[in-house]
Amino acid sequence: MKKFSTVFFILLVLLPFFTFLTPFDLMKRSSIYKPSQQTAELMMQLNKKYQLEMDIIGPTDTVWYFRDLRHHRISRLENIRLHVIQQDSIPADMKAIRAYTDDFIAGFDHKKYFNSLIVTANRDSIILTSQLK
Amino acid sequence: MKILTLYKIQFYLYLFLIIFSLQHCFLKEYHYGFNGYERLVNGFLFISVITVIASLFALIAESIISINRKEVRNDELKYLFFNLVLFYGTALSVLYLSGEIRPS
Repeated sequence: MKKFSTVFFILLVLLPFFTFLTPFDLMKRSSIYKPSQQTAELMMQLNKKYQLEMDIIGPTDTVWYFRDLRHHRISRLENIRLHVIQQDSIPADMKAIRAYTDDFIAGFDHKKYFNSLIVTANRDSIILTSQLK
Repeated sequence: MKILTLYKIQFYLYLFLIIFSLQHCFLKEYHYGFNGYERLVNGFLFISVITVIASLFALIAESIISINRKEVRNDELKYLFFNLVLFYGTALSVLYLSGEIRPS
């Protein structure tokens, strides 16, 4: 009985190592940029106003980017990217995009965290850049 | 050193590490306002990993000693059981904290 319970206990101790056999970064996920509610509403309004489909593509690792900013560890600010979703054959309506970005910059709350605004279209070609400061 | 003292040290060490990861879970946004907190989390993760690996050997040795005694000592068995449960908690907190450090 004692031997059995000892072996059983040792098995119980070894049990969590079945989870450790799988890589340690089971719970690691790549972080994605999620606009705040205010920004998302602003985007929705502007999309309706100018009949465009725009998406925000933020800096790659947002959580650590903002944490580093808080402690002044970053020497150069990153850019924020807007992406126009459109069909290949139709060229981008530059007038509407320019007006869109002007309105966006006027309404965007987190200007001080980014260096400049870049607008890209299909295949990541840059159409427009504008300074946020 | 008596084996019961070792059990108590182990017990409080596990409790300490689990409480740290619990408070990290709830208060991390506030704590990241302090400059050295990231280093603190890295240190705690390192200590937790060492603890989990060391307690693998410690718990096996202790169970062989405590369960196979001629006269049954309830204190030791009680602590052994609690330590096993807290050991699971520490292993879980290692998994949690390893997802919280900066991806390299």
